[in-house]
Amino acid sequence: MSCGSDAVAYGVEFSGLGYSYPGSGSPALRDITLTVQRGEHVAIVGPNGAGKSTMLLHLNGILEPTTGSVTIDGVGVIKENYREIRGRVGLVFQDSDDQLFMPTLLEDVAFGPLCNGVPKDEAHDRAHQALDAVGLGHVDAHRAAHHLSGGEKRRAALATVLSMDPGVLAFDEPSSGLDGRGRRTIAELLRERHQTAIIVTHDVEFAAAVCTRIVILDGGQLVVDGLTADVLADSELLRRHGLELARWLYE
Amino acid sequence: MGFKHLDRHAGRHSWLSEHTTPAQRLWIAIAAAFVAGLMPSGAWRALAVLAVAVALGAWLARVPATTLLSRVALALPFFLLPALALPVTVPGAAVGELGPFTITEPGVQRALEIIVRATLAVSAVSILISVTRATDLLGAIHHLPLPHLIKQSLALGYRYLYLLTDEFERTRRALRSRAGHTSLFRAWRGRAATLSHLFVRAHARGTRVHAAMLSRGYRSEMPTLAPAARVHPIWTATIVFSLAMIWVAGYLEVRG
Repeated sequence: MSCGSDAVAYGVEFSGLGYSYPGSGSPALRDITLTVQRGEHVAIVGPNGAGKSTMLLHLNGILEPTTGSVTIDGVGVIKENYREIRGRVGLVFQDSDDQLFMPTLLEDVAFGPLCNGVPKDEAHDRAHQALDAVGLGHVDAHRAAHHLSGGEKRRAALATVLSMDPGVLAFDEPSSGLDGRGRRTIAELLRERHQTAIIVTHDVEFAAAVCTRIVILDGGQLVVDGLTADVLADSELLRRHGLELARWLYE
Repeated sequence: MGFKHLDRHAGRHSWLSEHTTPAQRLWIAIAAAFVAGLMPSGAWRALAVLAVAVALGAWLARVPATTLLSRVALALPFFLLPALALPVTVPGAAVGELGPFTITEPGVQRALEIIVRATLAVSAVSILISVTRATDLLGAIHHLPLPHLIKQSLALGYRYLYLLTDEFERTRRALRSRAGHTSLFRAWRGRAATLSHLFVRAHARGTRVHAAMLSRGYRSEMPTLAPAARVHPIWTATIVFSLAMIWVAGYLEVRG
């Protein structure tokens, strides 16, 4: 398993992506075109209801586009390719309790590799390596995840996808509900990843700490795409799209 | 965490926990429950032997009698209520009167039999869950020849039981903090509302968990790292064989 610098990284391309929820009058996503290079860390920020999480769910076919397409390193995210795509994209959901569904932590982390045909012994080793990589090597992995703290659960959720050795890591609000230390730990873990990372968040400081590029989504449309430093320097732009920096970043 | 009693005794060392695997204990408990349930009617001596075997199991597992009795008491209403109807509904020789009803000898015997059999079966299962961690038990159940859907429901049920009880507690606390002192009727209405909210939340969580499973490559079967059950060691076979012999003894006892 590649938890370090030899990790595989895939490029991601959204081409004219549009999506409407069944029964909904207005589209949740409109004509999103975005290219993420291999190994790049990109944050998708925006106000509530902007369509950030909806966009993320298109990365591995949980939602299917109404218009346009998504490709992972040239492989289209279509039904025929789901098996391959889901091995390439590690999606971490906002609530870690949704991600940790097996009776024990070890089985949770081994679930992805086992589902993708990895033999039991190798899946077992991969699970331990992934837990070590997120600093949970000391935890009793034979117990259920409800014994973990909020920060530990978030790291365990990251381990569940690292064990699959994905080329793209996708996170939905990885810093929400964490205290300062937990937030910093997750930011450091993500910064160390050599895979491509797409991070959906409200937390602009967290995005700045992890990503070199920021994309702002508002009303289902991509409205800004720029380098982190440039986007953060424009406080009026941030405010216009319902985003704010903490005071210490202004000073 | 609001659901702590599941693994209360599972960490305790006992002869049974050290000399048997969770899968072997599961098979023994299933065998004991089946023997109790399938014992021919009227085989009282065989039932007594089975009761001694169950008591021996409780002693080897170091399960306190109070724990065993409290678990049997929990299940008691489920078999006591149907059993209580038998003395006045089964035809046979009358042994007494209860108001307009006639109590019959075969009816009393059948009622006692149901209570004894159910008590023994529940005790055997209680011993099993007292010395086996729930996660180990789920690993053992995974290898039983049962439909995948049942096994997956049990595994997910165990994981989310804790979250549901926590959510129930939080919702109940929020409701009580706003409601103040209320009448019994209002309190029950509040509980019903809490449960319905919980159901909606559980459904929403189920949808999200399914998406998380699909994202990691789930198709229809939940894989596990748990090793395949070893059910062949000699003495496990001996115990299961002995339980079967108790049943045979019961059968011969009834046939005279």
